[in-house]
Amino acid sequence: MVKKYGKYRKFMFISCIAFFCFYSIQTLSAGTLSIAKVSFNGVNFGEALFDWESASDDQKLYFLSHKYKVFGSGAGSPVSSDPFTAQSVGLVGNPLVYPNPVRLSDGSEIGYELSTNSEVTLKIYDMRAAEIYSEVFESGTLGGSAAYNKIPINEETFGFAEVKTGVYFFLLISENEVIGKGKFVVRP
Amino acid sequence: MITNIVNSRLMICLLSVLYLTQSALMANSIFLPTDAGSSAQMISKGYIEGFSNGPASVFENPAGLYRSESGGFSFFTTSVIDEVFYKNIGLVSFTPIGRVGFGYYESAVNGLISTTENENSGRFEEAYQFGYRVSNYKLAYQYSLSPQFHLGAAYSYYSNTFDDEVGTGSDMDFGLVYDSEDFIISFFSRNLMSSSITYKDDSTSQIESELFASLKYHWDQYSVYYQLKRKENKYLNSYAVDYDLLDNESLVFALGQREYLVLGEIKQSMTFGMELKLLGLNFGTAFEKSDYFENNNKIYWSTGMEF
Repeated sequence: MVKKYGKYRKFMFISCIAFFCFYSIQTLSAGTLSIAKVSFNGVNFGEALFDWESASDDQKLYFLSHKYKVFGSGAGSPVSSDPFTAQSVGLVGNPLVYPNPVRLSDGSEIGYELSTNSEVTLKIYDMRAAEIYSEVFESGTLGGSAAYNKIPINEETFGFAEVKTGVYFFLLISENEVIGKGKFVVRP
Repeated sequence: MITNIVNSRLMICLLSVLYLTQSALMANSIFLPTDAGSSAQMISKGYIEGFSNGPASVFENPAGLYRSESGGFSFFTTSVIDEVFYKNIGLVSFTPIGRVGFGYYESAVNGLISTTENENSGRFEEAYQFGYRVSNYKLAYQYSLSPQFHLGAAYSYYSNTFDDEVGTGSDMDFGLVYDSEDFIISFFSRNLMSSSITYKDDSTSQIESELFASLKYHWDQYSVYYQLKRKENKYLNSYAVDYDLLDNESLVFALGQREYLVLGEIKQSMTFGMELKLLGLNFGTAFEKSDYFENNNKIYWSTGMEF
């Protein structure tokens, strides 16, 4: 009986493995994000965020999308620079956590400034890349306003669940694009 | 016959001790490097511990070192979201009184930013950067009571450094393996004493204890696996199957499913991978889906050698 169906079982098993390999590999071929500084007369006034991919056959880069981030406003800043639309959502500087390392019983804050009002999603991951927190901040409210946003991180953030000592990673996402990322240590 | 009865009773007594020593969850535990798995082979099998053939058993179940027919080493590395770097090395050697193993496992993150708050603007500013590292040293000993019944124990030393903080602690692992022709049963308790890492400021992080009961059943070119894991007072199941393509263990494909805890909630994931053995060297790779927004795959690599 075992001998009779031996080849059939082999075929089914290898087919299953091949399916999982294909499913995994196709998600590995996403584009790469690159940030270029934009300056005029030696003054930095923004960043261009490119999502690109390369094709191995002709050794060229193909841009998938781009966004523009403006540092401040007033003289020297571009009003509009299509296709680098000044209204695109971006961060002014990098998001930072204060204090870091974090003692959750004392609390901490993630601070960042948006270039425009926008809906922003904050996601936090643990050291195995498991998502432990996700929150959507509406445009114009704390977390989604074109000002310096300070999002509290404390025991309540995680529903008073036990959060292990370790490093945690956060992403700020707007319009399905990562606009900022950072990390912090939770200490005992 | 008498030996078997004595072995069975000894096994039951030891298992009772293992179960009773599992302490309740305390606050402030720490992410241990072993949370990420110890080899690509075990990850591909749904993180089922206790069946590694080589020195990686130092991290899984030291009783499993009996499978190392000669001395050898193993190496495992992976990075999670390009930020957390895991790597371990295991060594095993023979002595007149049994097998002795040594293991080192670390998880490290660089580029963490210490900050200050600008009193005028209220904005946060970078002060300096620091790293985070958890190191785990293991010294293991394995002894075989009979060709079927094997015992193993390991001393674990932990250190955790970040910013200007240093913490250290130690614990013990204990394992049993019963290996018959058709099946293998593995019992393993990691961090039996559930002790703590103590920092300079007297704060502590608990080293969580974990209890594993695993079964491997061999049939034709297939092996099926099941594991029941007790952690944080919850029971977690893992299932796996592997297929030995050439029937000589030189090319093995594996598929697994596991349950794991995220903030006390049970989640599930699928894993798969393959192992290739060639000229005394073995190579393993494993894949697992991830929650991460930017890259939803985790890839693991292992290599090892018997000499």
